[in-house]
Amino acid sequence: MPYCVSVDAKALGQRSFGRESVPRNISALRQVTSQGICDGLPDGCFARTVTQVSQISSVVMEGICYDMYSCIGYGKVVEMKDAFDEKTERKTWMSLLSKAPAGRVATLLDAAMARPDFKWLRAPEIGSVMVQGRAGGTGAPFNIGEMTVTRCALTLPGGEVGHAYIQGRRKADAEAAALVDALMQGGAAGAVRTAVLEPLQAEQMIAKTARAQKAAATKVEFFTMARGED
Amino acid sequence: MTEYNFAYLDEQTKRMIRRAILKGLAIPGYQVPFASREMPMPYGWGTGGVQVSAAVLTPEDRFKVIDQGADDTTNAVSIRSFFERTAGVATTTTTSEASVIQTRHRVPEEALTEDQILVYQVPIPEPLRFLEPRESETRKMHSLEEYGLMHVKLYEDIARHGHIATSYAYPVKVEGRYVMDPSPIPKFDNPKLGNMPAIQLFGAGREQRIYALPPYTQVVSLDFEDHPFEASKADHSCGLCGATDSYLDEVITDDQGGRMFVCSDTDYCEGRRAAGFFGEMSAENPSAPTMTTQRNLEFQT
Amino acid sequence: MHAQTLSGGFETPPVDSAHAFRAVMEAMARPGQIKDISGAQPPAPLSAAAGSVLLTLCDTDTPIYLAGDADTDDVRAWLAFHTGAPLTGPSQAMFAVGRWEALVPLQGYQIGTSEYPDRSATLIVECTELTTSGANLSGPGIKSRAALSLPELDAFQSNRGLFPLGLDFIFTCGGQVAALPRSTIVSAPEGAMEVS
Repeated sequence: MPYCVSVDAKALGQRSFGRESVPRNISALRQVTSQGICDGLPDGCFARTVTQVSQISSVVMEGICYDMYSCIGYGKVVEMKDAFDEKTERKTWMSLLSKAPAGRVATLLDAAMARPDFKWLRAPEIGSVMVQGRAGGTGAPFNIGEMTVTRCALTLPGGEVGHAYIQGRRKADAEAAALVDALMQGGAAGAVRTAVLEPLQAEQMIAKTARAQKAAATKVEFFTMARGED
Repeated sequence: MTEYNFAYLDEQTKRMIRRAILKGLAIPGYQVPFASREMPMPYGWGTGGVQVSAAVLTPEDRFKVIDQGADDTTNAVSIRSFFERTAGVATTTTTSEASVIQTRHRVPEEALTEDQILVYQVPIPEPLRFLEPRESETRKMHSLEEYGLMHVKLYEDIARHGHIATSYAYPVKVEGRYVMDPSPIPKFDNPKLGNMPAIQLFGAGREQRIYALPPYTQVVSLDFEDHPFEASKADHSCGLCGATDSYLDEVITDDQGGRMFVCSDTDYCEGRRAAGFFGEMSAENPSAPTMTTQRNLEFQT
Repeated sequence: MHAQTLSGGFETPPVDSAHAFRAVMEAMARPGQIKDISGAQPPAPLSAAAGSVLLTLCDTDTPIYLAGDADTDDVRAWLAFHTGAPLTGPSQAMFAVGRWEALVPLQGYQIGTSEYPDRSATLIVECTELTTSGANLSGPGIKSRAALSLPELDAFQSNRGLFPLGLDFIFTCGGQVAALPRSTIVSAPEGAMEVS
């Protein structure tokens, strides 16, 4: 499936879909996978997806739907591999930015520095992408559902190009995320990293741990001889 | 309304509709399939016309909507306010001021110009549909230019009624090639389709078809040598403006059989009255019966 | 990095594309008339008009064929970023862009099927000049007569012979656009009497 954003269910909070009846749980799955969209976008491989905007999306917002391969490594679309690529640094921060809660990136960025001047290459626009998952993190990918994405691209006076693909319909957040991406390629990278990315990462770790602990508390061990794995 | 994209539809949908419009203009009368979207109005209320208008409108346009000629009926009012809100375009009820006119079942009485675009709402775009229900067959009939069935239908009209009884949605042949449904306009309007200076676009939302007539296209209503096509209207003059050359609605005014004929094109009628013309039932007419007649806005022919 | 191929798109896509489409639609509806079109600044050698037409009509659903010198890395990258349209050869293309010499022969393009004549290619022909003189045009969209500077006659006459199948042409030059749908009948200019 070279043209889909692949999301490894295992990577999204260690939740196994293996024994679950998927169709009944679509809404839950959407929630889970939407957190992990950027994990599925290997560097230089922003996959082409989705050609149709869901009706709701075109009503409530500028439902513009795009293929995603043009994001960073435009022009060098490569086939999605079965396994994940090694994460590059840029991919890590793109992932952080895409999953950040509403307004958080902008708050951190504004607290750290005055925003630089920039020029839009692509003003923020909203569309939807089809998210794929693999039951249990293995096997053939299936379409979990569409999620809304906001994207934009801008350039700084120094020539750095910043992109953003973030979940949800948040144009202001997309702008902030693209600014961070652009700044991370320039001289201010160190400052941005300590002021924006590291706090974000810490917050996400805390949230992830809390969620895992909550889930772990519900784990049931049965004292039986065989647990159905024969 | 910043949450809406300009003219409601998203850009990808507009591009798809725009490609269909261009192909429609290149093949006059041919129905181009398009991926019609659901619109925030029921099918039959002009979803096709609205999508075509949305793909065509620019912010500088002045938009007019008519429903059976009237600017003031529910359908016309709601589509007009829909584009006021989602596209921010100026609107008008005056035919000559409008640059884009969306219409349901009428062509304005006033002659259109080269600077105008007329968008029709079409319920059933396929003229052969009631003769042959299968799309695969009608498509083949169009491709083979096999329109004998339509002539048989018109002939049966003559055999049964003595004349061609089809009075609206009267089929036309475009540039000697495609038989086209002009949408359910009265056949009174058919002669206006040909050689019109304005671009005519037809949108059928539920049936997912777009077709078009470029300006100055040859459009011929189907007929027979001994039963030539005849544009017909009620044999009266307008009760309000006295016009004898416009298409008339018959309006029932009371329970005693009272009725009046009024122009179906409200803008045309108002324009004439403003210019000093009046009909026999108009209030300005000194010899008019002392009856206050209010046009029933819900009335549909 | 790559900023030059990422820039040059529509400033406000919904409004710019609406204006550009009106120009293309008016041109297609009235063969022989030349309209102004603007909005895009594509990389060379594409003209602003050709770029605007591409941004207005093309997306991931429309395979594009870049003919001859229009096929540069910059153009590819620009189209990829702004339209996402897949690039392909003439036989699969819904749109083809290039100079006339690079686009011919026309036999390679899709002309539609008798049941779906709309499934045909649209050729965007880059011209060095575009004037309302030259070949005589008649047919739908033309009141009495029109003329347009066409690169040749034969190809358009045989294309008309395929009607209702056939190719549609959009001519671009600088910031101007004209069109020749398949329905237009093309004949030789009437010599010195021709008034442009």
